[in-house]
Amino acid sequence: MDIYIKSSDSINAQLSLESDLPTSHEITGSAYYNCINPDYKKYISPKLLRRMSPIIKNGVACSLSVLKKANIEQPDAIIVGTALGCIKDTTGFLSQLIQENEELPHPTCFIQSTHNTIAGQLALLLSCHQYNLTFSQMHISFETALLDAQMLLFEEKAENVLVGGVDEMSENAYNLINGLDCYKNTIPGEGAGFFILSSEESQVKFKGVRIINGTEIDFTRELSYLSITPEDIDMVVGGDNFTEDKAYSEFHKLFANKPYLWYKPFMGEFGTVSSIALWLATKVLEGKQAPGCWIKNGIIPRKFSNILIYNKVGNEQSLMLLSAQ
Amino acid sequence: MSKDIVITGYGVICSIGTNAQECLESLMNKRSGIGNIRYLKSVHKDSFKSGEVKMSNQELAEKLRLPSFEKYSRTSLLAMVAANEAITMANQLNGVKERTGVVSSTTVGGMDITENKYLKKTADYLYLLTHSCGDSTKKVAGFINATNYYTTLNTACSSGTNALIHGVRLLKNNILDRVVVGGVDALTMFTLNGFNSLKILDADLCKPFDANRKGLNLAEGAGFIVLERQEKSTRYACRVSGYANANDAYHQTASSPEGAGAFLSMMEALKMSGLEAEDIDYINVHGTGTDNNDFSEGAALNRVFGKGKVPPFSSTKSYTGHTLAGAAGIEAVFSVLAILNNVMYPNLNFKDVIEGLDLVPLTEVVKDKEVKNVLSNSFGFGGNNSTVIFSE
Repeated sequence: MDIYIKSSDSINAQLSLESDLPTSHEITGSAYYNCINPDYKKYISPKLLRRMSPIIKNGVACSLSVLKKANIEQPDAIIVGTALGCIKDTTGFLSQLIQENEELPHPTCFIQSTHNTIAGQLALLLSCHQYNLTFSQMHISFETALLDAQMLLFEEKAENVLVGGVDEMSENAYNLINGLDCYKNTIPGEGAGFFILSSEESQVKFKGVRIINGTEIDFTRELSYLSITPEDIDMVVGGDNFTEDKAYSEFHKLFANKPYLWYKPFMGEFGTVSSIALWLATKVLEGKQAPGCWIKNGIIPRKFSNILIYNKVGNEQSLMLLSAQ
Repeated sequence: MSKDIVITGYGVICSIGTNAQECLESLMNKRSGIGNIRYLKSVHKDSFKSGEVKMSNQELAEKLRLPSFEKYSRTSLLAMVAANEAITMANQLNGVKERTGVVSSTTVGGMDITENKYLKKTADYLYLLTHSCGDSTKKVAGFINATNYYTTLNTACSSGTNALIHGVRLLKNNILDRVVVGGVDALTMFTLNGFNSLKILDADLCKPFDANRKGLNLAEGAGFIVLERQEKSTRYACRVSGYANANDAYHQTASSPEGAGAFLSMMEALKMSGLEAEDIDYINVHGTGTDNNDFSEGAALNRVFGKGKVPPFSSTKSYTGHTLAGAAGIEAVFSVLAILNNVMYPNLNFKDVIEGLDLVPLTEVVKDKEVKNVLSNSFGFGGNNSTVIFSE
């Protein structure tokens, strides 16, 4: 059974909803990236907006945009991946507890602190009683959500699945994660990438996702599970954060003669940033072009059939494969 | 298709026992684990009763033969104890399987470490390593040698059943041969204050499905079961015959008065199992003891089974307290034990029927009836409603 990406959208540090791939990048020089805010009011009522933290706003607005693009009122399932969830409300509630010595904290932050708030808000807004899940496994949160969506379509339990990844970054959150190994030499960031995964034919085919828990990877074997050889890949998208990122040297070597796209230096590093990579690859296949600023190794893309996305942070690795129809 | 997933192991730790056998004995002897808070640091520790696991982190680490306990959140330690009991049983029954994974769930992950470090305002930000929901799952997977695949669900208090559902589907789609599924949460200052701010904690013992219920008792624990495909595993405890996930789509924290989501998840699970409503022998209800949950769930039970025809049911949260993401995992183990031992557990502290519902839970242990099919409900914030049916 073939699975397609019917629509996609992203909110990230470089652009906001309903945009084309940018042809240049802004690098602000700040310690971490925040998203470029869309006109949220286009998607969410001002009354609701006031109560929403950035992650909820971005997750909900991005979801509503992909539903609109696909002309779907209600998806058959809502599946969200988030690495750290509603970290702003979580730290907000915690700070309140500590400052006021646990006396009468306001429940709003607590209510909105659970990871499933985004998927729950979407169900509420869409009056959608269907399958509703939230995954949270650090750097493979989005990938396991995607795998679940793919299984639902295989099982014919759904025709159109809303699936995405979203995380937020704030000063508090930055102070928390700054010391972690996996954020060394990176610019932490935030963003959202959402998709309608569908059994209905469209331009971009989703060929599958591989999730590898461990530091080693056998690319050829993993690609065989996705029914493709390295030679048939036209272009790759890597998750390197800087020029000589050792975690990606084997991947670089294997695809040394293929156009190599990268995005993290301009989007930042975060748990579900691979959802942005999937959006980027979808846009490249749809538009049959990859603006030069995304290409790391200077090789001009000539073919736009198969794009492989690779992400590795610590011992969490993933591969995603897209093909043009 | 739904008939081929079997349970080959189970493990549990909560306030009524540190393994399945101890928990069963407590259940059979009407021994609740809810009491005064001993280990949790909170200004409210004397104001509320809770279902704490009666072991310190150091004792848990010793039980697991870990060289030290400091690097582990309490969440991880609890999960490791329960998952290890479960996988040990499955290994003994059917040997080691190559493609083994873990699908766990937790609502606040390593918050117990986070809040302590936050309190002390130490510059040691490495605690974020243990903060994420995925940390305890990764630790469990490493500990029980099941790293082929692991992930974590967080759909608030329905999480454990959703972990089971994702796990079943990984088997059905032939991605794994064996998967350890369940949930865990440790008692934290964060959640105690959170539920207190919502005014849904009972300062005394909780009274699920009682007219005078005042709220829940917050608790901690972990429960895991091991799932395999029947064709590959001839020896097993019972089957997973049906499951469903639906959304109430009513309110971020409250359930709809008619229990729309609960109704849907029970109906869909029944449909998948191929069972009739009257085939269900026992229901392990979500039954938190809050005004809202019990009324909404009761209304849904009456709609699914018909008023006066609801099968024997009880909330074992009257023993364990509400362990959040741990609840569905723990109650899955209790459901399996009910089938294996042909027993049904009472609902402690019940006196008066909720007006309009006319639902009377079991108040005594039932030992003289066959228990072939058990339905277990788990509901959570965000409108998440999930149901699973276990069958002989």
